[in-house]
Amino acid sequence: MKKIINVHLAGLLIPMEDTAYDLLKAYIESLQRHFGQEEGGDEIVSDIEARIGELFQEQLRKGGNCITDDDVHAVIAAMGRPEELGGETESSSPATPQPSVSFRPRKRLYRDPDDKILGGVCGGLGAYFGVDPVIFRLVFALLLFGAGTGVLLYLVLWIAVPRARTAAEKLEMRGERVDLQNISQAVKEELSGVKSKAQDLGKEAAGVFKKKETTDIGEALREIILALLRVVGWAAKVILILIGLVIIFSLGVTLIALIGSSAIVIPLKSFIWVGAWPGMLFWPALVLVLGIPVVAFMIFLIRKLAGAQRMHAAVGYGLVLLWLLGLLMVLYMTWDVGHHFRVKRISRMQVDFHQPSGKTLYVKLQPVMDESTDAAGRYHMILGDWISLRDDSLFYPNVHVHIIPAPENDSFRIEILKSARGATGSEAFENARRLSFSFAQQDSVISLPDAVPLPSGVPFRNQQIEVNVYVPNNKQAFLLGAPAWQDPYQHGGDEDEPDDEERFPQSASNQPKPHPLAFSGLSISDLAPGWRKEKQADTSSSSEWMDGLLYLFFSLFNIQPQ
Amino acid sequence: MNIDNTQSQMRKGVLEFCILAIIRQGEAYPSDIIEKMKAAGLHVLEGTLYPLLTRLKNAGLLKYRWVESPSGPPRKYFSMTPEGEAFYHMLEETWKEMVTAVNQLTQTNS
Repeated sequence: MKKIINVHLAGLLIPMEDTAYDLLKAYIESLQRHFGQEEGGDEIVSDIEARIGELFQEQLRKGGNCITDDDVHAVIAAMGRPEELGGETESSSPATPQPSVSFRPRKRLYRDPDDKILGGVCGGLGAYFGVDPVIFRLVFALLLFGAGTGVLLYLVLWIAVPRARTAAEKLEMRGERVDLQNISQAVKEELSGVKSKAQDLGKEAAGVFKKKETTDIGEALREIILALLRVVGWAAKVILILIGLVIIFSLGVTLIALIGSSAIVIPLKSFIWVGAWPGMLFWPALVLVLGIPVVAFMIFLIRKLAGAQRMHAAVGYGLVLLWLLGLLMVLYMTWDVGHHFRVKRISRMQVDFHQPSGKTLYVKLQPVMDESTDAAGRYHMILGDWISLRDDSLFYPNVHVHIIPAPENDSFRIEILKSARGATGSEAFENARRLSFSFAQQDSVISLPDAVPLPSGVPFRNQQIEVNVYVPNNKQAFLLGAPAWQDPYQHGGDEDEPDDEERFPQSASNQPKPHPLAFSGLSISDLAPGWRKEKQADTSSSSEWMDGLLYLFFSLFNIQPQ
Repeated sequence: MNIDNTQSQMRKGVLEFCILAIIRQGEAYPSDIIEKMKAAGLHVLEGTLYPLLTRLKNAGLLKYRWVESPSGPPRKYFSMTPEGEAFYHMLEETWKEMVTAVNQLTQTNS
């Protein structure tokens, strides 16, 4: 049993079975979808409807009460299904509007299995950016020389980027040339506005110039500018992305290294930033400035891999804000350091000591820096060649000995200069004073430590100790046991003596070479001679405190825990 | 290689030419055109005709007028425009060239 309904088709009243009506309705809807994109699509469909109406009418005239499923099937077979009419719409209709962009696969980064040397990373990158993969291969090859960054980057991409397996994925890999076309499209639109203005101007000037030439020149210029913009655009993009990848990668490595070696960094930082604020800001600043780009890159990568998910704009702004906050902290901390290294002060002291019984004075440097393991097994680390930490005390080469001929004197004289930096003169003096320095004497032997530790709580302000030994006429002094790290070119203070004097055991007079001396069995007789403040020198030069800073940061990034 | 596909491509290629040829002989409405093509032995899906007619009309090669029908809705009767005439002549040239060329090729090959 079937219901019969009357259908109004192109001005005709057609009785149809309801199932036949459903069939016809579906067919016409499919035609509407098919021709919908086309100019005059409605007209085509209504023409076809009219024809169908005619055919049905004919059918009814031949006999039969109504249109059945079979009749509809026959008509559809005669007219053809939309997919059978398909090829024509595409090929013979210039007026067809562009197949809407949303149908094109969204471009995604894949590894290209058809264009590969290793893992297809470069091939995929080339397809993604629409350039020859050779460019990426060259870049990676060059990066090989950059301490193997290229290898790591390649491996990361190899792991992170999926291979294009199916045909659909390969289509996605190539995708639409989103970047180039969209850019050039945007530029074209932009320029056409400019061009029409220029043409208007050209028309105004047409009284003098031929209009055609003006537009031709404008056209040519526009083409050149477009081409240039295109080339510059993608080149800049590729370079920026590669640079960005390398920077982000090294940031991540640095952050991990710093956190991994926090046992060293934490005590070290307390020597640089004293006071609540800068010290507290250290880790947040570090994590923000180094970590945010890494996090952002990971988000970017995950989004790429996951497909089209768009990130909420707030996330992006939040990340940028956090990074700027970290940058501000770093700037503040840098300023703080610079501020506390601003002024240099030197205090000069004459030291009382016993004149040796003989004509010779031996100045012996006791190595402190080089003791990598302590007898008591205390915590001891050497950072780079310059800094070591032991029991929260900072050791760095800060004792320098100068042997100076002084013919006008008739006895040995020892002078100690302590220098330090600070935000103010008095702070600098205070910083210098907190470095306690003493030496021991055993008749003709003066024993000095080769470095004076900076106890925890005292800020590092490039405190330096200079020991000037003035040698009178007819007498001599030798410097013994100068350790390897003592760089003869490192001068803490106001130097007017030649460099050589602290480099080797040397005599101030023209005596033959010193003979090796045995110190065993000697007892120290006179400890800690009193200080006498003689004068306070006041010097300050920016280059010196810059040296101090550079030296510090250099050491900080040459960390070698032992 | 699908033989049906190739055959239909060949037919589609000359379809516009045939439609213009039929209309050129006198005003025609779509059912007439289909009948004439069938009578001549050219079998096409009727559905392909309507989009072609609309496109040719939109291109200014054809025009139409409504004619009341004794049995049903008014019909669209198509006729040539001068542009359509010129277009037809150009297609005719091409067709003759093609026939000569194809004949020559098929005869030398067989």
